[in-house]
Amino acid sequence: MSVLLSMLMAASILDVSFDAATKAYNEDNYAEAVTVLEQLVAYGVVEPEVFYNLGNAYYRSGRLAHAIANYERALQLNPRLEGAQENLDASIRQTERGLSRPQPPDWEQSLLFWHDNIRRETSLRLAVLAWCLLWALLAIRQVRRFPYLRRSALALGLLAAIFSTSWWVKSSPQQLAVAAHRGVPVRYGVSDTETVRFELYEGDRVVIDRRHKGWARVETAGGERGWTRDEYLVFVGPPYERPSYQGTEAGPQNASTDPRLEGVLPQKDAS
Amino acid sequence: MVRALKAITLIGATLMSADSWGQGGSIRSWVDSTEVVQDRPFWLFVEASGETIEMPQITQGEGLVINSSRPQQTTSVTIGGRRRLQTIKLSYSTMALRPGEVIVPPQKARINGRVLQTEPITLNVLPPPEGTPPRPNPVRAWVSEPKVAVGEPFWIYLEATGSEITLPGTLEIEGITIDPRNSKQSMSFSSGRRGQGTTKKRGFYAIATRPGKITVPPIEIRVSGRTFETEAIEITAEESTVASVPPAQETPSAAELKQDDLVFIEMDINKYEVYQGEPVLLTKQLWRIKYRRISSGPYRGGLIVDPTTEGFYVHNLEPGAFEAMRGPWTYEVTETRKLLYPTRAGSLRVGQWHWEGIALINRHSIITNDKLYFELDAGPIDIKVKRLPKSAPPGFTGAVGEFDVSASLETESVTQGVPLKFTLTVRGWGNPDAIGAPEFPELAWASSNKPEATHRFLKRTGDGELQMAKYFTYTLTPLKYGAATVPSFNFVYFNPKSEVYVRKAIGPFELEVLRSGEVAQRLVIPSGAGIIERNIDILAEDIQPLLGLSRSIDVNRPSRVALPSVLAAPVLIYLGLSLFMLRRRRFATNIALARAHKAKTSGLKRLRGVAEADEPADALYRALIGFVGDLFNLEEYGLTSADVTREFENRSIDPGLSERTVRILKACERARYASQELSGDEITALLSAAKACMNELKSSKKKARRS
Repeated sequence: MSVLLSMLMAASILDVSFDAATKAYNEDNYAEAVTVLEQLVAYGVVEPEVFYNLGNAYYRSGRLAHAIANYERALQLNPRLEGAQENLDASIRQTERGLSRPQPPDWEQSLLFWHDNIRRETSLRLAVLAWCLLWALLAIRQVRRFPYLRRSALALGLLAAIFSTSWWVKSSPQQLAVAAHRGVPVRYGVSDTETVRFELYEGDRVVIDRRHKGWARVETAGGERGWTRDEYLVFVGPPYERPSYQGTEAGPQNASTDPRLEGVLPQKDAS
Repeated sequence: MVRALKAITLIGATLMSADSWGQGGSIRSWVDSTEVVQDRPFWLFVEASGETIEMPQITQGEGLVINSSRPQQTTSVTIGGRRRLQTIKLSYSTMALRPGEVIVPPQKARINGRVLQTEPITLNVLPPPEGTPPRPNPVRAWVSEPKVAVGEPFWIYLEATGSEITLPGTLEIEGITIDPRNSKQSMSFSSGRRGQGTTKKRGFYAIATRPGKITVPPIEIRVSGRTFETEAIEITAEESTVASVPPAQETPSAAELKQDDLVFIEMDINKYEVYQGEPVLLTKQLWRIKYRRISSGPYRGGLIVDPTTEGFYVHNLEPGAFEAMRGPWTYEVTETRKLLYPTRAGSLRVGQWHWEGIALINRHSIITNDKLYFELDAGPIDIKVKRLPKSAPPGFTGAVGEFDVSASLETESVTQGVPLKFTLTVRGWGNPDAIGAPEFPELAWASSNKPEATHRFLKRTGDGELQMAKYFTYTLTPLKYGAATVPSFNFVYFNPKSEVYVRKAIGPFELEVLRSGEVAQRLVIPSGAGIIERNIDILAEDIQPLLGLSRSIDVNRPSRVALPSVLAAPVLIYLGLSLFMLRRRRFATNIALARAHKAKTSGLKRLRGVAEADEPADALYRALIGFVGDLFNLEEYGLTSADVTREFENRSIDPGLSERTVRILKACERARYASQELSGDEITALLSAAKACMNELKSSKKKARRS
């Protein structure tokens, strides 16, 4: 009972925080909006609307990379979220090179060409439905055999496999990151003494295929690959990390935490 | 006996062969038959064997023509030990020219370093049999157009079929000038059982120099060792350039089709004397007859050599294909065109076009086709390139052709500091690469950069000239505000038609430059302005507003149990159902099992009804017997306690249990048959004992089954 109560309390406090962030944004206090929404994310809130609003707050703060990363998060959770794609496109147009998002592997593009606009939960629901129907058909087959029962079961099995693959892909998407500022050096190896292979511009999206002791191996949409420091990137996730690079411009790092929320938000469960 | 002779012959041949190796090779010649008919081709075979052979040189004989130009050749190589014996067999198409005795002279070849020769062959040449139609004239001449205009070019063609053909290099005809720089020639050849034939054709580029009737006289051509004459041709030359309509021709029969009509090539240019930089249109046409049963084209391994165009800047045009009539025949014409721009003065040559192909003729046979091989040549063509006149005016940048020039400003009102485009368009015919940007005037009110130049080809005019457009785009950045002017400037080119330099004025253009801060009618954002724009205001492009939440926010903690449970549930349900159905099927098929399974349930049920029964002892007896019958799948009707005892013994039931059960049964029997009614307590005790026996019997059977 006490656990339920604490959960209900936490939920209402989260709603209050979300509303406070919206209010701060509407009062052009984007830094505060960013702080509050980042705290929500740090607490474990994974809602596309929260990431979308955070993206807007970052965009208004002039933090293009963080805005892009949060729009990407919102779209990952709900590919059809109203306005997210438009805002992402607008942000990309603001970048120096306007690089496209690195494409997923070929097999994913060919097998799961249809699932871009489907939510992860929808894929899971469809997979579970197909799975249950498959076993139901098999059970019916035990009692009485109808024509095409076997083929239908086979088709349902295939559908269950496809939908579950879609869910799995959406649950563990390719690790995207966004270059946090202009001239991010991408090197041949994991050391600052290594030769710079190419540079990333603020807002360039890259795929992370490996991380090692504060370094990440990145690959651009054009296939260029190299190592750069984690701190120069904003990781899209999941997991949804709090950005380590705060930049030099006035932004979230200088923003004071909303006093109304100081000590209000419950501490995140250590588990 | 025959085998022995064959063996001796083989050994002899081998020895002879070995001998010939040792002697350094051999050569021999023969004909299929020494009796031949005059003017009918036959094959002369020459075979040479040795380690090294230089091709035999044919010696022509008196009254005989041996076609040495294209002999058929077969080569075989035999390797024995360290030696390599080569045998070359050549087949020459030969024809006797007179009746009587004709001698094929000895043929020589250098074999293994020594000159060897064949034996002479004496031929008995018979005159052609009576009634044989006279041999058609193997040579002919014709013109491309019977009616021509004075000064307009046309073609005179000579053609000869046979062997050893010598066509004249040029023609001298009164009233006609032959241009020796432009000619076309083709050769085709065929071979069959009776011999080999070659057809040579040569076209002469002719221009009538006077009006009236002009006669092309008979022209002598030497074919197969004899001299033949073509028939004279009459041409009507007119002053008018209006083309005369040729008379309608009837569709000719296939028999009239000559070899040379099947495939031929033509190469031509539209000008022979041009100025440097002036475009010349080169047209190459491959004519293939469109006739059922005949297909033609290049073959694998056939040599096709494009004409060389050294000294020209070449622009390839789109190839085309069309149908056209030539004489009475319809042809499929494949046309390729190139624009040639002479890059230097002097005599430039378009090289020879060589084309080798094949024509397949189906003469009403499904399986085989007659094959005709063609080796066609056209060109070379010489072009005289003149230097441009030296009096080039200032501003001439190398444009040669005929052009129209136009220019436009992007806008008439622009804000100070905002760049605008000024575009100059040069449209006409000429080499676009030779057209340089005209000198742009210095502007006091704006800065200008070097122009960006692009060009594209438009379409071909009726004169065979290709229209093009070249665009020069200048970017002007206004530095001062107020009324501004782009002053007039000139574009200069050389017109080869009128042979003069032409100067065309461009402008002036006026525009208004608004002071920075004033609202311009139209803003032009340069391509490189994106970064500046972003630095000024990143929010220039507005974004979609914030989203609200219709539901309460909750922390998503993925359940580790829910999903596996959901996935496992249908599987478990299915497994349970499967087990149930399996058992059901077993009961349906195995009655003993089904009875044993239900025995206890039904037995206990029957026991429950004993107390209320009219004759409890009878009911108890039946319940217990029914249970035993069900448990061991026995027919319960007529089953007595003695039967049960026997059955229990057979099934090795515990004797104590067996005895107790049988005692219950006997007690019931006594009550039923000996009228010894049982009291209520006795019934209760028996029921209790029967229930215990049922349980024990059931357990006992289970144990027995397991063991």
